[in-house]
Amino acid sequence: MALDVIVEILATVGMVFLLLILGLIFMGIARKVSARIHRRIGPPLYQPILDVIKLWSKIDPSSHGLTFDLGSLIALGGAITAALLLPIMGLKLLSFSGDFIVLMYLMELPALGIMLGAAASGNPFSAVGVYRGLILITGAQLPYALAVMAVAAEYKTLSLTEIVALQQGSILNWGLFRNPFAALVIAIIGLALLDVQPFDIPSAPAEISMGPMVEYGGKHLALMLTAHGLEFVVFATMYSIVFLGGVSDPISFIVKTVFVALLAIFIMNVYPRWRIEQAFSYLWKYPTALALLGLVKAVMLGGAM
Amino acid sequence: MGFQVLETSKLLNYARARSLWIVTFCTGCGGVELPPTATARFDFERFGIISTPSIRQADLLLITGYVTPKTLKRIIIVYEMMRNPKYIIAHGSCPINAGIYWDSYNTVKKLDLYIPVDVWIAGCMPRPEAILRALVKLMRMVKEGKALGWKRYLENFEFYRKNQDRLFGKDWRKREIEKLRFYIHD
Repeated sequence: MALDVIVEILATVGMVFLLLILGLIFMGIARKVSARIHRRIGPPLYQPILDVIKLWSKIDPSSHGLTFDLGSLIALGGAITAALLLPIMGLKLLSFSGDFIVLMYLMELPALGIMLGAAASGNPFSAVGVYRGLILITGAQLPYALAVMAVAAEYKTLSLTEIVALQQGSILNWGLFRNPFAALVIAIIGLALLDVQPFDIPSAPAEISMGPMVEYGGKHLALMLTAHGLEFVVFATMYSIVFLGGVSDPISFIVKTVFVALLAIFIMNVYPRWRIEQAFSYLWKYPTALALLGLVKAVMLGGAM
Repeated sequence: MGFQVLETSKLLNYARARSLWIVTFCTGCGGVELPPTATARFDFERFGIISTPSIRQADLLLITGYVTPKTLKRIIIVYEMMRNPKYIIAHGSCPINAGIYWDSYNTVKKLDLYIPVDVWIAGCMPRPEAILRALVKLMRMVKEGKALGWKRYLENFEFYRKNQDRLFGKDWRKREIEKLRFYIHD
Protein backbone atom coordinates (compact mmCIF):
# COMPACT_ATOMS: atom_id res chain seq x y z
CA MET A 1 0.00 0.00 0.00
CA ALA A 2 2.68 2.47 1.09
CA LEU A 3 4.88 1.26 -1.76
CA ASP A 4 2.16 2.02 -4.29
CA VAL A 5 1.84 5.58 -3.00
CA ILE A 6 5.62 6.11 -3.17
CA VAL A 7 5.76 4.75 -6.72
CA GLU A 8 2.88 7.00 -7.73
CA ILE A 9 4.57 10.09 -6.24
CA LEU A 10 7.85 9.23 -7.96
CA ALA A 11 6.06 8.71 -11.29
CA THR A 12 4.30 12.07 -10.93
CA VAL A 13 7.48 13.97 -10.10
CA GLY A 14 9.40 12.23 -12.87
CA MET A 15 6.67 12.95 -15.39
CA VAL A 16 6.52 16.64 -14.44
CA PHE A 17 10.30 16.96 -14.68
CA LEU A 18 10.37 15.19 -18.06
CA LEU A 19 7.60 17.40 -19.41
CA LEU A 20 9.28 20.60 -18.16
CA ILE A 21 12.53 19.66 -19.95
CA LEU A 22 10.54 18.60 -23.02
CA GLY A 23 8.73 21.95 -23.04
CA LEU A 24 12.03 23.84 -23.09
CA ILE A 25 13.34 21.54 -25.86
CA PHE A 26 10.15 22.26 -27.83
CA MET A 27 10.88 25.99 -27.59
CA GLY A 28 14.38 25.20 -28.80
CA ILE A 29 12.90 23.32 -31.76
CA ALA A 30 10.70 26.35 -32.47
CA ARG A 31 13.71 28.69 -32.48
CA LYS A 32 15.86 26.34 -34.56
CA VAL A 33 13.17 25.67 -37.18
CA SER A 34 12.32 29.39 -37.39
CA ALA A 35 16.02 30.11 -37.91
CA ARG A 36 16.23 27.53 -40.70
CA ILE A 37 13.14 29.07 -42.33
CA HIS A 38 14.93 32.45 -42.22
CA ARG A 39 18.02 30.69 -43.69
CA ARG A 40 20.00 31.24 -40.52
CA ILE A 41 21.92 28.64 -38.54
CA GLY A 42 20.02 29.24 -35.33
CA PRO A 43 20.70 28.39 -31.70
CA PRO A 44 21.22 24.83 -30.42
CA LEU A 45 18.15 22.85 -29.31
CA TYR A 46 19.07 23.21 -25.62
CA GLN A 47 19.26 27.02 -25.84
CA PRO A 48 16.05 27.67 -23.77
CA ILE A 49 17.51 25.53 -20.96
CA LEU A 50 20.58 27.78 -20.88
CA ASP A 51 18.28 30.82 -20.95
CA VAL A 52 16.33 29.53 -17.95
CA ILE A 53 19.55 28.77 -16.02
CA LYS A 54 20.82 32.26 -16.78
CA LEU A 55 17.55 33.89 -15.73
CA TRP A 56 17.58 31.94 -12.45
CA SER A 57 21.13 33.13 -11.77
CA LYS A 58 20.30 36.84 -12.11
CA ILE A 59 20.26 39.04 -9.03
CA ASP A 60 16.75 40.41 -8.68
CA PRO A 61 16.64 43.86 -7.09
CA SER A 62 12.93 43.96 -6.38
CA SER A 63 9.48 42.75 -7.24
CA HIS A 64 6.25 44.69 -7.50
CA GLY A 65 4.40 43.03 -4.64
CA LEU A 66 2.78 39.71 -3.83
CA THR A 67 0.36 39.59 -6.78
CA PHE A 68 3.24 40.21 -9.16
CA ASP A 69 5.14 37.21 -7.71
CA LEU A 70 2.04 35.01 -7.64
CA GLY A 71 1.29 35.66 -11.33
CA SER A 72 4.23 33.64 -12.60
CA LEU A 73 3.62 30.89 -10.01
CA ILE A 74 -0.03 30.58 -11.07
CA ALA A 75 1.11 30.32 -14.69
CA LEU A 76 3.50 27.44 -13.93
CA GLY A 77 1.08 25.74 -11.52
CA GLY A 78 -1.76 25.82 -14.05
CA ALA A 79 0.47 24.35 -16.75
CA ILE A 80 1.72 21.55 -14.43
CA THR A 81 -1.82 20.64 -13.31
CA ALA A 82 -2.94 20.54 -16.93
CA ALA A 83 0.01 18.26 -17.75
CA LEU A 84 -0.91 15.83 -14.97
CA LEU A 85 -4.45 15.41 -16.37
CA LEU A 86 -3.15 13.95 -19.63
CA PRO A 87 -2.99 10.17 -20.05
CA ILE A 88 0.55 9.90 -21.46
CA MET A 89 2.20 6.53 -22.24
CA GLY A 90 -0.32 4.50 -20.21
CA LEU A 91 0.21 6.67 -17.12
CA LYS A 92 -3.08 8.00 -15.67
CA LEU A 93 -2.12 10.40 -12.90
CA LEU A 94 -5.15 12.63 -12.33
CA SER A 95 -7.54 11.13 -14.90
CA PHE A 96 -11.25 11.06 -14.11
CA SER A 97 -14.46 11.13 -16.15
CA GLY A 98 -14.76 14.68 -17.45
CA ASP A 99 -11.08 15.62 -17.46
CA PHE A 100 -11.31 17.00 -21.00
CA ILE A 101 -13.42 19.95 -19.88
CA VAL A 102 -11.16 20.62 -16.86
CA LEU A 103 -8.14 20.51 -19.16
CA MET A 104 -9.79 23.01 -21.49
CA TYR A 105 -10.04 25.53 -18.65
CA LEU A 106 -6.63 24.78 -17.13
CA MET A 107 -5.00 25.51 -20.49
CA GLU A 108 -6.11 29.13 -20.13
CA LEU A 109 -4.72 29.50 -16.62
CA PRO A 110 -1.12 30.34 -17.67
CA ALA A 111 -2.28 33.31 -19.74
CA LEU A 112 -4.57 34.48 -16.93
CA GLY A 113 -1.80 34.13 -14.33
CA ILE A 114 0.59 36.21 -16.40
CA MET A 115 -2.10 38.86 -16.84
CA LEU A 116 -2.88 38.93 -13.12
CA GLY A 117 0.78 39.56 -12.32
CA ALA A 118 1.18 42.06 -15.14
CA ALA A 119 -1.79 44.11 -14.00
CA ALA A 120 -0.06 44.49 -10.60
CA SER A 121 3.16 45.84 -12.16
CA GLY A 122 1.71 49.24 -13.06
CA ASN A 123 3.46 49.51 -16.42
CA PRO A 124 1.36 51.06 -19.22
CA PHE A 125 2.61 48.49 -21.76
CA SER A 126 1.48 45.72 -19.40
CA ALA A 127 -1.95 47.33 -19.11
CA VAL A 128 -2.33 47.46 -22.91
CA GLY A 129 -1.13 43.86 -23.19
CA VAL A 130 -3.56 42.65 -20.51
CA TYR A 131 -6.51 44.33 -22.20
CA ARG A 132 -5.55 42.83 -25.57
CA GLY A 133 -5.07 39.39 -24.02
CA LEU A 134 -8.47 39.43 -22.32
CA ILE A 135 -10.16 40.42 -25.58
CA LEU A 136 -8.35 37.60 -27.40
CA ILE A 137 -9.43 35.05 -24.77
CA THR A 138 -13.03 36.29 -25.07
CA GLY A 139 -12.83 35.83 -28.83
CA ALA A 140 -11.37 32.33 -28.53
CA GLN A 141 -13.84 31.08 -25.90
CA LEU A 142 -16.89 30.69 -28.17
CA PRO A 143 -15.41 28.53 -30.95
CA TYR A 144 -13.34 26.62 -28.39
CA ALA A 145 -16.37 25.68 -26.31
CA LEU A 146 -18.36 24.75 -29.44
CA ALA A 147 -15.51 22.54 -30.70
CA VAL A 148 -15.20 20.82 -27.31
CA MET A 149 -18.97 20.19 -27.40
CA ALA A 150 -18.61 18.73 -30.89
CA VAL A 151 -15.88 16.35 -29.68
CA ALA A 152 -17.98 15.36 -26.68
CA ALA A 153 -21.01 14.68 -28.89
CA GLU A 154 -18.87 12.72 -31.33
CA TYR A 155 -17.49 10.31 -28.71
CA LYS A 156 -20.38 10.64 -26.23
CA THR A 157 -17.85 11.03 -23.40
CA LEU A 158 -15.67 13.69 -21.80
CA SER A 159 -12.98 11.37 -20.46
CA LEU A 160 -9.65 11.52 -22.30
CA THR A 161 -8.92 7.85 -21.52
CA GLU A 162 -12.20 6.75 -23.14
CA ILE A 163 -11.62 9.06 -26.11
CA VAL A 164 -8.27 7.30 -26.69
CA ALA A 165 -9.92 3.86 -26.35
CA LEU A 166 -12.60 4.79 -28.92
CA GLN A 167 -9.95 5.74 -31.50
CA GLN A 168 -8.10 2.42 -31.51
CA GLY A 169 -8.25 -0.01 -34.40
CA SER A 170 -8.04 1.73 -37.74
CA ILE A 171 -6.38 5.03 -38.60
CA LEU A 172 -9.79 6.16 -39.88
CA ASN A 173 -11.07 6.01 -36.30
CA TRP A 174 -8.88 9.00 -35.40
CA GLY A 175 -10.69 12.14 -34.35
CA LEU A 176 -9.04 13.97 -37.23
CA PHE A 177 -11.07 11.88 -39.74
CA ARG A 178 -14.20 11.41 -37.63
CA ASN A 179 -14.72 15.12 -37.08
CA PRO A 180 -12.32 17.21 -39.20
CA PHE A 181 -14.19 20.45 -38.40
CA ALA A 182 -13.52 20.25 -34.67
CA ALA A 183 -9.90 19.25 -35.34
CA LEU A 184 -9.36 22.34 -37.53
CA VAL A 185 -11.03 24.66 -35.02
CA ILE A 186 -9.00 23.43 -32.05
CA ALA A 187 -5.80 23.78 -34.12
CA ILE A 188 -6.66 27.44 -34.81
CA ILE A 189 -7.65 28.11 -31.19
CA GLY A 190 -4.38 26.50 -30.08
CA LEU A 191 -2.45 29.26 -31.86
CA ALA A 192 -4.43 31.85 -29.90
CA LEU A 193 -3.93 30.02 -26.59
CA LEU A 194 -0.19 29.59 -27.14
CA ASP A 195 0.21 33.29 -27.99
CA VAL A 196 2.00 32.69 -31.31
CA GLN A 197 1.62 34.48 -34.61
CA PRO A 198 -0.81 35.45 -36.07
CA PHE A 199 -2.34 35.67 -32.58
CA ASP A 200 0.62 37.06 -30.61
CA ILE A 201 -1.25 40.33 -30.13
CA PRO A 202 -0.95 40.41 -26.29
CA SER A 203 2.86 40.22 -26.30
CA ALA A 204 3.59 42.04 -29.55
CA PRO A 205 7.36 42.57 -29.13
CA ALA A 206 7.71 45.36 -31.67
CA GLU A 207 4.80 47.56 -30.57
CA ILE A 208 4.18 47.13 -26.84
CA SER A 209 7.55 45.49 -25.93
CA MET A 210 6.41 42.04 -24.75
CA GLY A 211 3.12 43.38 -23.32
CA PRO A 212 2.34 41.71 -19.98
CA MET A 213 5.90 40.41 -19.60
CA VAL A 214 7.59 43.82 -19.84
CA GLU A 215 8.26 44.17 -16.09
CA TYR A 216 9.17 40.51 -15.61
CA GLY A 217 12.83 39.60 -15.60
CA GLY A 218 15.11 37.19 -13.82
CA LYS A 219 13.46 34.40 -11.86
CA HIS A 220 9.90 35.45 -12.69
CA LEU A 221 10.68 35.27 -16.39
CA ALA A 222 12.36 31.88 -15.93
CA LEU A 223 9.14 30.53 -14.41
CA MET A 224 7.12 32.04 -17.25
CA LEU A 225 9.36 30.61 -19.97
CA THR A 226 9.07 27.17 -18.35
CA ALA A 227 5.29 27.55 -18.12
CA HIS A 228 5.07 28.62 -21.75
CA GLY A 229 7.12 25.65 -22.95
CA LEU A 230 5.03 23.30 -20.83
CA GLU A 231 1.85 24.80 -22.26
CA PHE A 232 3.20 24.12 -25.74
CA VAL A 233 3.77 20.44 -24.87
CA VAL A 234 0.40 20.13 -23.10
CA PHE A 235 -1.43 21.51 -26.11
CA ALA A 236 0.45 19.27 -28.56
CA THR A 237 -0.22 16.21 -26.36
CA MET A 238 -3.89 17.11 -25.91
CA TYR A 239 -4.28 17.46 -29.67
CA SER A 240 -2.55 14.11 -30.28
CA ILE A 241 -4.78 12.41 -27.69
CA VAL A 242 -8.08 13.81 -28.92
CA PHE A 243 -7.51 13.84 -32.67
CA LEU A 244 -4.47 11.72 -33.53
CA GLY A 245 -5.27 8.45 -31.79
CA GLY A 246 -3.60 8.88 -28.41
CA VAL A 247 -0.02 8.67 -27.16
CA SER A 248 0.29 5.16 -25.70
CA ASP A 249 4.03 4.55 -26.30
CA PRO A 250 7.10 6.86 -26.26
CA ILE A 251 7.61 6.75 -30.04
CA SER A 252 4.07 7.82 -30.92
CA PHE A 253 4.24 10.46 -28.14
CA ILE A 254 7.37 12.06 -29.59
CA VAL A 255 6.34 11.72 -33.26
CA LYS A 256 2.79 13.05 -32.83
CA THR A 257 3.59 15.95 -30.48
CA VAL A 258 6.55 17.10 -32.60
CA PHE A 259 4.32 16.90 -35.69
CA VAL A 260 1.70 19.14 -34.08
CA ALA A 261 4.37 21.54 -32.81
CA LEU A 262 5.99 21.75 -36.26
CA LEU A 263 2.64 22.66 -37.84
CA ALA A 264 2.28 25.51 -35.31
CA ILE A 265 5.87 26.65 -35.96
CA PHE A 266 5.37 26.75 -39.75
CA ILE A 267 2.13 28.75 -39.42
CA MET A 268 3.84 31.06 -36.92
CA ASN A 269 6.64 31.84 -39.37
CA VAL A 270 4.44 32.42 -42.41
CA TYR A 271 1.69 34.68 -41.08
CA PRO A 272 2.21 38.20 -39.78
CA ARG A 273 0.48 39.54 -36.69
CA TRP A 274 -3.15 40.60 -36.85
CA ARG A 275 -4.63 43.67 -35.24
CA ILE A 276 -6.83 42.88 -32.28
CA GLU A 277 -10.14 43.60 -34.04
CA GLN A 278 -9.08 41.52 -37.08
CA ALA A 279 -8.30 38.56 -34.84
CA PHE A 280 -11.54 38.97 -32.91
CA SER A 281 -13.79 39.17 -35.98
CA TYR A 282 -11.91 36.23 -37.56
CA LEU A 283 -12.38 34.10 -34.45
CA TRP A 284 -16.10 34.80 -34.23
CA LYS A 285 -16.67 34.19 -37.97
CA TYR A 286 -14.81 31.23 -39.50
CA PRO A 287 -13.79 29.02 -36.53
CA THR A 288 -17.23 29.54 -34.96
CA ALA A 289 -18.98 28.56 -38.20
CA LEU A 290 -16.71 25.52 -38.58
CA ALA A 291 -17.29 24.50 -34.97
CA LEU A 292 -21.07 24.75 -35.48
CA LEU A 293 -20.71 22.54 -38.58
CA GLY A 294 -18.73 20.06 -36.53
CA LEU A 295 -21.37 20.08 -33.80
CA VAL A 296 -24.15 19.49 -36.36
CA LYS A 297 -22.14 16.65 -37.93
CA ALA A 298 -21.51 15.04 -34.54
CA VAL A 299 -25.16 15.27 -33.46
CA MET A 300 -26.69 14.19 -36.80
CA LEU A 301 -24.32 11.35 -37.65
CA GLY A 302 -23.36 10.45 -34.08
CA GLY A 303 -20.34 8.28 -33.39
CA ALA A 304 -21.07 6.12 -36.44
CA MET A 305 -18.52 6.44 -39.23
CA MET B 1 22.52 50.69 -3.24
CA GLY B 2 23.69 47.60 -1.35
CA PHE B 3 26.30 45.17 -2.52
CA GLN B 4 24.92 41.99 -3.98
CA VAL B 5 26.63 38.64 -4.03
CA LEU B 6 26.73 36.87 -7.37
CA GLU B 7 26.82 33.09 -7.36
CA THR B 8 29.40 31.78 -9.77
CA SER B 9 30.08 28.29 -11.00
CA LYS B 10 31.19 26.80 -14.29
CA LEU B 11 27.62 25.99 -15.38
CA LEU B 12 26.20 29.40 -14.37
CA ASN B 13 28.98 31.30 -16.11
CA TYR B 14 28.58 29.15 -19.23
CA ALA B 15 24.82 29.77 -19.27
CA ARG B 16 25.37 33.53 -18.78
CA ALA B 17 27.89 33.61 -21.62
CA ARG B 18 25.71 31.62 -24.02
CA SER B 19 22.55 33.63 -23.51
CA LEU B 20 23.24 37.36 -23.73
CA TRP B 21 20.06 39.27 -24.45
CA ILE B 22 20.54 42.68 -26.04
CA VAL B 23 18.20 45.51 -25.13
CA THR B 24 16.80 47.06 -28.34
CA PHE B 25 18.09 50.60 -27.85
CA CYS B 26 20.26 52.44 -30.35
CA THR B 27 22.04 55.76 -30.22
CA GLY B 28 23.55 57.56 -33.17
CA CYS B 29 24.07 55.80 -36.48
CA GLY B 30 25.52 52.43 -35.43
CA GLY B 31 22.13 50.78 -35.23
CA VAL B 32 22.16 50.12 -38.99
CA GLU B 33 24.92 47.54 -38.51
CA LEU B 34 22.81 45.44 -36.13
CA PRO B 35 20.19 44.05 -38.58
CA PRO B 36 22.95 42.53 -40.78
CA THR B 37 24.51 41.04 -37.63
CA ALA B 38 21.19 39.49 -36.64
CA THR B 39 20.01 38.20 -40.03
CA ALA B 40 21.02 35.34 -42.30
CA ARG B 41 24.57 36.39 -43.22
CA PHE B 42 26.06 36.74 -39.74
CA ASP B 43 23.26 35.45 -37.45
CA PHE B 44 24.20 36.18 -33.84
CA GLU B 45 21.39 33.93 -32.58
CA ARG B 46 23.70 30.92 -33.08
CA PHE B 47 25.56 32.18 -29.98
CA GLY B 48 22.26 32.42 -28.09
CA ILE B 49 22.15 36.20 -28.47
CA ILE B 50 18.71 37.69 -29.12
CA SER B 51 17.40 41.20 -28.86
CA THR B 52 14.59 41.79 -26.41
CA PRO B 53 12.45 44.94 -26.24
CA SER B 54 12.09 44.79 -22.45
CA ILE B 55 14.86 46.36 -20.37
CA ARG B 56 14.16 44.15 -17.34
CA GLN B 57 14.94 41.00 -19.33
CA ALA B 58 18.14 42.18 -20.99
CA ASP B 59 21.77 41.56 -20.05
CA LEU B 60 23.67 43.57 -22.63
CA LEU B 61 23.44 47.24 -23.59
CA LEU B 62 24.98 48.22 -26.93
CA ILE B 63 25.88 51.89 -27.27
CA THR B 64 25.90 52.33 -31.02
CA GLY B 65 27.22 55.75 -31.87
CA TYR B 66 27.76 59.27 -30.53
CA VAL B 67 26.25 60.11 -27.16
CA THR B 68 24.80 63.52 -26.38
CA PRO B 69 24.08 64.51 -22.75
CA LYS B 70 20.34 64.13 -23.46
CA THR B 71 20.87 60.55 -24.71
CA LEU B 72 23.27 59.80 -21.87
CA LYS B 73 20.52 60.46 -19.32
CA ARG B 74 18.37 57.79 -21.02
CA ILE B 75 21.33 55.41 -21.27
CA ILE B 76 22.01 55.73 -17.53
CA ILE B 77 18.32 55.21 -16.68
CA VAL B 78 18.13 52.14 -18.96
CA TYR B 79 21.37 50.76 -17.51
CA GLU B 80 20.16 51.16 -13.95
CA MET B 81 16.85 49.45 -14.77
CA MET B 82 18.63 46.35 -16.11
CA ARG B 83 19.15 43.51 -13.66
CA ASN B 84 22.59 42.45 -12.45
CA PRO B 85 24.83 41.05 -13.87
CA LYS B 86 24.76 43.37 -16.91
CA TYR B 87 27.29 44.32 -19.54
CA ILE B 88 27.96 47.22 -21.92
CA ILE B 89 29.63 47.19 -25.33
CA ALA B 90 30.53 50.60 -26.75
CA HIS B 91 30.34 50.43 -30.48
CA GLY B 92 32.33 52.66 -32.87
CA SER B 93 34.86 55.43 -32.31
CA CYS B 94 32.30 58.02 -31.11
CA PRO B 95 31.86 56.58 -27.59
CA ILE B 96 35.65 56.19 -27.27
CA ASN B 97 36.71 59.78 -27.94
CA ALA B 98 33.71 61.38 -29.75
CA GLY B 99 35.20 60.47 -33.18
CA ILE B 100 34.42 63.09 -35.82
CA TYR B 101 32.50 65.08 -33.19
CA TRP B 102 35.72 65.67 -31.23
CA ASP B 103 35.17 69.44 -31.08
CA SER B 104 31.39 69.41 -30.66
CA TYR B 105 30.03 71.26 -27.63
CA ASN B 106 27.20 68.77 -27.23
CA THR B 107 28.89 65.33 -27.42
CA VAL B 108 30.14 63.24 -24.52
CA LYS B 109 33.87 62.70 -25.07
CA LYS B 110 34.69 60.04 -22.46
CA LEU B 111 31.83 57.62 -21.95
CA ASP B 112 33.48 55.61 -19.18
CA LEU B 113 33.38 58.58 -16.83
CA TYR B 114 29.61 58.08 -16.63
CA ILE B 115 28.94 54.34 -17.05
CA PRO B 116 31.26 51.31 -16.95
CA VAL B 117 32.04 49.81 -20.38
CA ASP B 118 33.17 46.19 -20.72
CA VAL B 119 34.26 45.96 -24.37
CA TRP B 120 35.10 48.71 -26.87
CA ILE B 121 34.90 48.35 -30.66
CA ALA B 122 37.01 50.79 -32.68
CA GLY B 123 36.10 51.95 -36.19
CA CYS B 124 33.67 54.15 -38.03
CA MET B 125 31.51 52.20 -38.80
CA PRO B 126 32.51 48.86 -37.29
CA ARG B 127 31.37 46.14 -39.69
CA PRO B 128 29.30 43.15 -38.48
CA GLU B 129 32.48 41.07 -38.29
CA ALA B 130 33.88 43.52 -35.72
CA ILE B 131 30.64 43.45 -33.72
CA LEU B 132 30.64 39.65 -33.71
CA ARG B 133 34.25 39.66 -32.58
CA ALA B 134 33.38 41.98 -29.70
CA LEU B 135 30.40 39.79 -28.76
CA VAL B 136 32.57 36.67 -28.76
CA LYS B 137 35.18 38.47 -26.67
CA LEU B 138 32.50 39.51 -24.17
CA MET B 139 31.22 35.92 -24.08
CA ARG B 140 34.72 34.72 -23.24
CA MET B 141 35.04 37.35 -20.51
CA VAL B 142 31.68 36.39 -19.02
CA LYS B 143 32.63 32.73 -19.11
CA GLU B 144 35.84 33.46 -17.20
CA GLY B 145 34.01 35.80 -14.81
CA LYS B 146 36.00 38.86 -15.93
CA ALA B 147 33.18 41.07 -17.24
CA LEU B 148 32.70 43.00 -14.00
CA GLY B 149 31.53 46.41 -15.22
CA TRP B 150 28.30 46.12 -13.20
CA LYS B 151 30.37 45.50 -10.05
CA ARG B 152 32.59 48.51 -10.77
CA TYR B 153 29.43 50.62 -11.08
CA LEU B 154 28.15 49.45 -7.70
CA GLU B 155 31.50 49.85 -5.93
CA ASN B 156 32.39 53.24 -7.43
CA PHE B 157 28.86 54.63 -7.57
CA GLU B 158 29.90 57.89 -5.86
CA PHE B 159 32.51 58.52 -8.58
CA TYR B 160 30.08 57.89 -11.45
CA ARG B 161 27.34 59.89 -9.71
CA LYS B 162 29.64 62.87 -9.17
CA ASN B 163 30.54 62.93 -12.87
CA GLN B 164 26.89 62.56 -13.91
CA ASP B 165 25.82 65.38 -11.57
CA ARG B 166 28.56 67.63 -12.93
CA LEU B 167 27.29 67.10 -16.49
CA PHE B 168 23.52 67.23 -15.92
CA GLY B 169 23.24 69.34 -12.79
CA LYS B 170 22.09 68.15 -9.38
CA ASP B 171 18.68 66.41 -8.97
CA TRP B 172 18.57 65.39 -12.65
CA ARG B 173 17.07 62.02 -11.68
CA LYS B 174 14.13 63.72 -9.98
CA ARG B 175 13.53 65.93 -13.01
CA GLU B 176 13.54 62.87 -15.32
CA ILE B 177 11.00 61.10 -13.10
CA GLU B 178 8.76 64.18 -13.18
CA LYS B 179 8.71 63.96 -17.00
CA LEU B 180 7.49 60.35 -16.79
CA ARG B 181 4.95 61.02 -14.02
CA PHE B 182 2.06 61.04 -16.51
CA TYR B 183 2.75 57.44 -17.57
CA ILE B 184 3.20 55.94 -14.12
CA HIS B 185 -0.01 54.71 -12.50
CA ASP B 186 0.38 52.93 -9.20
